Order: sequence, then structure tokens, then C-alpha cells
Amino acid sequence: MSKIVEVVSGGLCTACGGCVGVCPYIKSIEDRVAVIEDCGVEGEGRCYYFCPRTFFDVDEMNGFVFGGRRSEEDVVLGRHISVLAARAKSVAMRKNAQYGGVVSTIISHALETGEIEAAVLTSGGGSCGSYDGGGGELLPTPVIARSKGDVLSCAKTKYFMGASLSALNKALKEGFESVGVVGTPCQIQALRKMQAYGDAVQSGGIYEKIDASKSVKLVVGLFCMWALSYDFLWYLRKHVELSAVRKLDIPVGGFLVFGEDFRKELPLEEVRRYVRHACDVCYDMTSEFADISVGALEGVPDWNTVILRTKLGERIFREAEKAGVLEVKELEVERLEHLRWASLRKKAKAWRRMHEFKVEFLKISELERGIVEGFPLEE
Amino acid sequence: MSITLDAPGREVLLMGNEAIARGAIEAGVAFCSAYPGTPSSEILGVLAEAAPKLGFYAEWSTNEIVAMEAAAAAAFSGLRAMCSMKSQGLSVCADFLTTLNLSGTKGGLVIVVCDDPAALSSVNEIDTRSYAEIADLPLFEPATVQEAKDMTKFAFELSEELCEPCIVRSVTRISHGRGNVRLGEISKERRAAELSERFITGLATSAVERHAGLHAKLRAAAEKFESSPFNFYYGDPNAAFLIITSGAGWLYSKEAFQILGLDEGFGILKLGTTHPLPRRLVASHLKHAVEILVIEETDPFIERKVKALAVDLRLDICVYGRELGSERAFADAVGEMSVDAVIEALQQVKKLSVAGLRNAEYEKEAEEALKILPKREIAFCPGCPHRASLFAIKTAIKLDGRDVPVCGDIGCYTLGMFRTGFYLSKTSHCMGAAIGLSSGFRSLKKPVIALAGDSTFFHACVPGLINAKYNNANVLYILLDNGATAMTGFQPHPGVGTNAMGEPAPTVRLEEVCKGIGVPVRICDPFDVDDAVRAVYELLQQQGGTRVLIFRHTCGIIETKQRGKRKAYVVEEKCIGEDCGCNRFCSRVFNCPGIVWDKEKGKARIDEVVCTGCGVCAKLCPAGAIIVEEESYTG
Ligand SMILES: Cc1cc2nc3c(=O)[nH]c(=O)nc-3n(C[C@H](O)[C@H](O)[C@H](O)COP(=O)(O)OP(=O)(O)OC[C@H]3O[C@@H](n4cnc5c(N)ncnc54)[C@H](O)[C@@H]3O)c2cc1C
Ligand code: SF4
Ligand code: SF4
Ligand code: SF4
Ligand code: SF4
Repeated sequence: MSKIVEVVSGGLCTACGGCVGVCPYIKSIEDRVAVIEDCGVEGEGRCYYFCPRTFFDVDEMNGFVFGGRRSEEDVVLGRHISVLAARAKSVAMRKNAQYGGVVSTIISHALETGEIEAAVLTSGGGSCGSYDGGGGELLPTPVIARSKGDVLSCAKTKYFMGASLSALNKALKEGFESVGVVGTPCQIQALRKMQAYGDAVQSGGIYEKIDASKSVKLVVGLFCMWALSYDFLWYLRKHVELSAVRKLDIPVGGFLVFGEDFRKELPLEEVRRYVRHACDVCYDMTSEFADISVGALEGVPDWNTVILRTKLGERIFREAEKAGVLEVKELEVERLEHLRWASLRKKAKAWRRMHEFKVEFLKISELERGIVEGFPLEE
Repeated sequence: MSITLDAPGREVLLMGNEAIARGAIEAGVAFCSAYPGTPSSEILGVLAEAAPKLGFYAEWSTNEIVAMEAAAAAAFSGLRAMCSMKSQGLSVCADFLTTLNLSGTKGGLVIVVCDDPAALSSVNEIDTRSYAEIADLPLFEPATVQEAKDMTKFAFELSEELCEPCIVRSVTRISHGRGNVRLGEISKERRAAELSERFITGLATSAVERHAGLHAKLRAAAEKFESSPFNFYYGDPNAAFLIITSGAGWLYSKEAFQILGLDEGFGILKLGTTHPLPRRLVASHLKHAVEILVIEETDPFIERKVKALAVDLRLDICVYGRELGSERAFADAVGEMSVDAVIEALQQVKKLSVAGLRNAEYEKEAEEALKILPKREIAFCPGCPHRASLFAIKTAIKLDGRDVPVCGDIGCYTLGMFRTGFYLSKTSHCMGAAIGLSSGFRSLKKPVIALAGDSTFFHACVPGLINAKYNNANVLYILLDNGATAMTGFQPHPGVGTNAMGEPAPTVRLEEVCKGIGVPVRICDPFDVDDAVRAVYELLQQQGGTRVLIFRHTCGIIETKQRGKRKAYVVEEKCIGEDCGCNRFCSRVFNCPGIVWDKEKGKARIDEVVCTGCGVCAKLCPAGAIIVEEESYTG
């Protein structure tokens, strides 16, 4: 209990939602998570074990998800089998998606083949208390998706946080036994902690039957550089009519706002001011502990970069390819190099900030530390 | 109903407040008004019930000053009128009262004020007798239930004779005590209302002249009081030790004398008309006394007058009382009087031994009895919408993160300052204070939440809300609309569609009043907990300005009466109990009396007798372990 209060009050909370819905003391709205009252539970409870910001031991997690410690090769992009480029075969799917629609395709395929019975996704349709001027589509709402239709309605990136994993806690309580999860790197970290440490917390009642390590059958991670705070909407509404905005995108060096019939570029330095502070100390750009990680393919809007990490992830991805719903190609070496550079740079920055702010939740090996500290950060 | 019984001479058992009502009926009251407030509410409650039958008029007014003005108008037109209120109510009336005395009245006008010494159900224990002095008006203090009736009736007569309102001051123990009352005749006089004179004050006529006239009337009243049967003497006619007392103090003093066996050398002067003081009567007893003990409820009101009189008469006597700083004070002038308190005072000033009065056995029994009593914290009722509302507010404040302060107000939700209200309220003063205070907290540079109940809103909050709007205060005003004046016994108010006499009445809607003032209004059912949290959160997040949120849900007690209870139970297999994931949230934190912790089983359990089946705990239970059945039952 004490630790989670520190995470929340210290501005470290990513609003992943891992602790939201596991007890009546922690509540969330928008990207805020609050501890309403001291729960009085002795020792550390679920919130402590699930939260990516109380402790995170990279090697221990590597062992839990992949087996063994991280090798030098794994440090930059995390353990992986391959890195490639892919997109949805269906044009409609791509049109509806953020980029190539790989995430939506994999999830809806997994639902259709019965690999999973539900998926924890993030739709739009959120709201923001400080104004009433539309823009809800840009804001996240946690969702338990059961059908292709549900999946499609969750496509496109919401560049805000919204406690998505609270939907997983809900799904598990409702008794779903094979669930897929799509999330940002911090959400994937929390999810893996739920699986790894779920049984560290003694509990009775319905919790006797809840076990994320058994029930979560597919983990798709998103690439993520940072997310925006809700204050950004106040900035955005100065430039565009919020209700007309359909999509946001962050191509290299810019920030794009798309409407039904317009496209507007905003200066990235200005947008950056609204980055959530909790993202400053995020060490993971590519969802290193997912089964499959998906991000943009820089400069090619209707393709994705895909990292296959686990055998499970690889099987599901290849089956989708075989079923003809995915189109796959190799990733050019320069792109891979750029991806590695960007990922390592994020780590180096986060590591430096963690020291500046005296934040000590992350544990990495000496080897990894050497690599990260060796990255030349410009001032 | 015995208060309407037309049987002069018959003795009936009445509550003090019923006796006051009966006194008014016997006096032929034509117009009664009041604002509910413990311990005064029953007066108008029973009068309103009797009104249609006996053909007079009774109303719940929106607040005390309006009640007094309305009653005064009836009296101006020649009718007998009465308004009743609790102690704080008279402070609300102070402005009108201190001009009403100058205009005078035509029909008899009686103001009944029920004080609450020890603040058993009030925010303070103000002694309103001083208002009689401030306003130069005659004051009666009944000492028994019989006197409560007789004095009320007489007050009408005196009022009409002097053409000035008279005040009857009761206290909780008289108002809520019961006693046999010999009934008098019910007046059959029916007057026609007529306004021929002018009732004006101040600039139109000379206030000074009127003030002088008022004093002349007071002198006349004093003269009458010299021989009033409400003042009498008990005990040794030449007593050297004298208790002077009024109100409930009379019976306490008499009992103390009996217990202590005090007779020779001891006497009691019981006063029923304490303003203006019957000086000659009191003086006649001061002359045989050497020591005087004044026993009265709360302030040293009589004590000061007696001391002043002794100085005028150049008497060398010793007066023990409760004057602040007095060398002869036997106690501080706070809290309630009782037989024990009188005995203690006697023991102190007379160095009387009370050994053997309280035996060890009695003390032990009393102690044991206290142990058997279950420990009960003051709490919202089961099914109370305020618990849900305050929990939602607390949650939203945490989510908002700015530690937004909450100003409480007067009503059941005053409990917002205790555990049952999650210690939310930072302030709690008088009716309507929350909205006034909240607009003054502007230097905090964050929004402030103010609370008010529906009845409280009509009573005293509209000017405060207009002030907040006009001065652009950053206030979220949350109206806890439970459709009743619940705290004082579910009296109707302007929002509910019936009047005091049970007739249909036009409805004044909270939201329409607010919209009329020009503040945005949102309405939400606090039992939809998630929506309620969101509503508070979103309104807090708005950029400044005054906005209103109405939490609308019928008072749990009324709702249970109307639709019966629902059966609720805990599915034990699902209940997380004390473990991480709950730790007794329902019984420990949400703390509805309907749900208890079964220590042996380590599970929560619904107490069926208490639980109304409102279902809020079921919505908050993290395990879905509480089930509430759809169907309701009565019983
Ligand atoms: C906050 C954020 C920042 C990102 N930053 C980068 C980046 O810097 N570089 C990069 O290459 N890629 C980034 N991405 C990922 C990228 O935007 C795409 O989501 C990803 O490439 C998948 O594309 P797609 O076409 O397959 O997505 P789609 O098929 O459209 O599916 C998108 C999926 O993302 C999920 N989702 C949307 N918003 C959220 C959210 N707020 N939280 C959790 N899940 C969400 C939805 O559930 C949906 O399933 C970011 C994503 C997010 C949420
Ligand atoms: S320790 Fe358990 S009950 Fe307490 S806040 Fe954390 S998750 Fe909730
Ligand atoms: S688990 Fe996630 S939502 Fe909860 S405190 Fe940690 S980072 Fe925040
Ligand atoms: S809130 Fe629910 S789980 Fe917790 S003790 Fe009560 S019934 Fe059991
Ligand atoms: S249902 Fe729950 S909250 Fe409602 S009265 Fe019963 S125990 Fe109390």
C-alpha cells in the first residue's frame, strides 16, 4: 500500500491500469489514478506486485517470459526471434487502422480462430472533465472486445493513457479464461508482473480463481515513445476544432492532426511540452516483454514494424500470414539500425533521468547498464 | 388526537411540544408557522394535523424569519398567530424581531423557541433568552408540561393586551418530556382578518418614541408578573438559603432538595416570567436569604438580574451562579442542568455531605449497563443517499488531486465531518454557511465544494448562491436532494409538492432556481456511484465559475417506507474479506450499518434487520459478492 501511494503521488504512475479494479481503494478517471483511502492491508499487496513502477527487474522478467538472462544482443530491442515489416491484407482494415493494421488483424484473427475469447483493447470515446468541446474519439477507454466489430472500433492510436488494464482485471473477474491483451510497453510490463507475481499475494474470495498467468493467452505490445497528458487537448483546441479530429500521428520529427477533410501539422517541440511526466523515466520503447510488438514503419504510413519475440507470438503471427490476412516483408537493415538507435536512446535518457530524480524502481544487469550508459546523449 | 380533545378539566398525557400546541389551540390560534428544527418540530407537526379539523391555518415556512413574518402578518390583521422554531432559528429572525417589537401587533402573537442546552441535536447551545432583552419583549419559561400549555395560552392574552409579541422559551427536556396536562377550554372564537392599522417602525415614526413606548409596555408586563401564578415559592418561608430557578431547573431543584432532605432554612423561588423580572417578588425573597444559588439553563440570565437587583437594594447577600469569572461561580455556564448538577452545586456551595446518596452498588450497576450497550458511532442510516454522495465526492476529490476543501452545512449531511461521512467537511456552521464560506475561499486558488440539502437550500442558500455567481467564485455547489427535511422528521418543503397540512402544493424545483440564477446545473443519482464520481470530478475540473450538481435520491427511510426493503446477502465464496483486494471495505470503510463483519467466518454479512437493500455496497464491492434481490418486500 505505501509504495503505490508513492508511485501515484510521485508522478511515476503511467496510468497503465494494472492496479485499477483489483480492490476498492484505487480508482481512476482519464489518466489519473488515485488511492482513495488507506486499505490497511499489511505488507505489500497486489498493487505493489502489479505496478510497473514499484519495482521492475529486467533480468528476472526476462527469465519469466523467455527463460534465462538478457544477452548483450537482447539489451537494445529485448529478446526477439525476428524483426520484420507487415500489414493487413485488407485495405479496409488498413484504412481504419493507425498504420498497417497489424494489431487489429492479429487480434481479430485470434478471436475468430478461437485462440482467445476476448481481448483487452482501448477504444476512443473517452471524455475529459475540464472541457466539453468534443474530441472524445482521441481519448482512451478500456474495452473487453469479443468480436471483429469490437476490434475494429478500437483501431487507431489514442496518444493518451487510460488505465486500459483495468479491463483485464474486469475480464479476469468475470471469468474469461483465454484473453488477449494489447498495450503500451508499461502496460505490458504490468501485465507480465501480474502473471509473474500474481501468486505472491495471498488472497481469498474470487481471487482464489484468478490467475493471469493462465488466462492471458496472447500479448501484443505497441511501440511507444511517450503519451500525452490531457492538458494537451487545451492546446489542440486552439488549433483545430476537436470534434472534427479523426486521427493523430507522430511521424519522424513532426506531429500531424487528421480530420475528415484536413491535415494539419503542429510543431513537435510544442506538443512535447504535454508529454506525461511518468513517461520521462520509461525505459522501454518496443514492449520488450510482449509476444509480438508492433510499431510504425517510418515514412510508410500503411505498414508496420513487427518484432516477434516468443514462440507463441511467432506461431500466431505466421498462422495469420498463412491464413492470408497479413502481408509480410523483410525489414531493411537501415531501418533496423534506426529502430535500435531510437530504442537505446530512449533507454539512455530514461536511465539518466531516473538518476536525476532519484527514482529507483528499475533493476538492470551490470552488462546492460554499461551499454546504456555508453550511449552518447547530446545535451 | 388528544390535543384537539374538547374536554375541559380532563387530564391527558402530553409531550411538552404537544402541550404548547394545545395551549395555542385553547387560545384560539388562527395562524401557525414554523421551520422544523429539533427540539421544536413537533409543535407545528401536531398543529398542522389539527388545523384542517379545527379550521385554522398551519404552514411549514422556508425558514424561521419568513415564518415569523408570516405569523406577524396574521397578527397584524387581528388574528392570533404563533411561530415556533429551534434556538438557532431565533437568530435567523433577529432582524425582524427587533423591528417587530417597535411596530407591535394587534392579534396575539406568540414566538415559541426551543433551546437545546448541551447541544444534543444542534450545532451550539445558544441561550435565546437574551433576545427577549435585546428586543424588550416579555419572556416565559415553562417548568412543566402543564405550564407549557398554560403559559402559551396566557402569552396570547398578554400579547394581545400589550400589543406586543411574547416569547415562550422551552428547552429539550420540557419540549420532549411528557406529563399530565389538565385541559382547558378550546376557544371557539372565529375572527375575521382585517388590516386597518399601520404597523410601521423607524424612519416613518420615531424609533426612539416607539422604543420608549415599548418600555412602558414592559413595565406593565412586569407589574402583571409580580402576581403571576407562574412564579411561586416553595420551602421554608424564611429560608436563609434560596435557590432561584426557572424552566426545567425547578423540578431538578425540588428533587435535589428532597434527595438531600433539605427543608428548614431552605427555599426555592421558581420563576416562570423571567423577563421582565418581577422585581418586588424577587426582592421580597432576597430579604430573608443570605445565600442564593441560581439554577437555570445555560447563560447566567436570571443570575445577573438578581445580582443587579441586590446591588440596587444594597443587600449584602451571596449569589452563586455560573457567571464567567465570578468568584462565586459553582460551574461554567455550559451544558445541561440535571438533578445531579444541582446536588453537586449544593454540595459545593453549602459543603453538604452527599455520602451515602450514591451507593457503590448503584454505580456498579450503571457501569455494567454501559458495557452492555453496543458501541454505536453516530452514522448515516442504512440506505442513506448521503453516504453514497459523500463517498463519490471523496473519490472525485482524490482523483482531482488538489485536495479540494468541502464546506458542510446543516442537515443529516452535517455528519460529513465524522467517520460516516469520511471526514469530508472542513467547515460546519449555520444554515447556508457553506455556500457563503466557499465563495470567500478564493485565495486558495482552487475550487471549493459547498454542500446543502434541499430544505437547507430553500432556507438560506439562495443569496449565497447569487453572491457566488455574481462574484465569480470557483465553487462546485452540491445539493444533496433527498426530497425531505429528513433530519427533523421528514417535514415537507417547497420542493416536495405537499404542504404542512398534507394538501397538494406547488413545487419549487431546485434546478429551476439555480438555472434562474444562471448557474449551470447537472443532476445525478448518487446510487449510480461511477456516474456520481465522474460528475463531481468533471465539474471540479471545469475552469472556475459557480456550478451546481444536484445529487438526487430519496431519503432511505422514506424510500423504504414507499417501496419496502430488498433482500440482500453476501455470497461467502466470493467475499475477499480481510485479504488484499478488499480488507473489509464494506463494513470498515463504506461503513453502512446494514453490513457487518463476521469475525468468525472472516466474511462480511448483511444484517437483514437493518439493511434496506439499497444496493450501493453491492456496486462498490470489488468481488461482486453482495447480491441484492430485485423484488422488494415490506416489513
Ligand atoms: C501512446 C502511444 C504512443 C505510441 N508511440 C509510438 C511511437 O512513438 N512509435 C511507433 O512506432 N509507434 C508508436 N505507437 C504505436 C502505433 O501508434 C500503433 O499503435 C502501432 O504501430 C500499431 O499500428 P496498427 O496499425 O497495427 O494499429 P491498429 O490496428 O489501429 O490498432 C491499434 C491498437 O492500439 C490500441 N491502443 C490504441 N490506443 C491505445 C492506448 N492509449 N493505450 C493502449 N492501447 C491503445 C488499440 O486497442 C488497438 O488495438 C504508439 C501507441 C500509443 C498507444
Ligand atoms: S494492497 Fe491490495 S487492497 Fe491495498 S491498495 Fe494494494 S491492491 Fe488494494
Ligand atoms: S499499476 Fe499502473 S496505474 Fe497503478 S500505480 Fe502503477 S503505473 Fe499507475
Ligand atoms: S466489500 Fe465485498 S468482498 Fe469486501 S468484505 Fe464486503 S462483501 Fe466481502
Ligand atoms: S444494501 Fe448495502 S449499503 Fe444498502 S442498506 Fe444494505 S448493507 Fe447498507
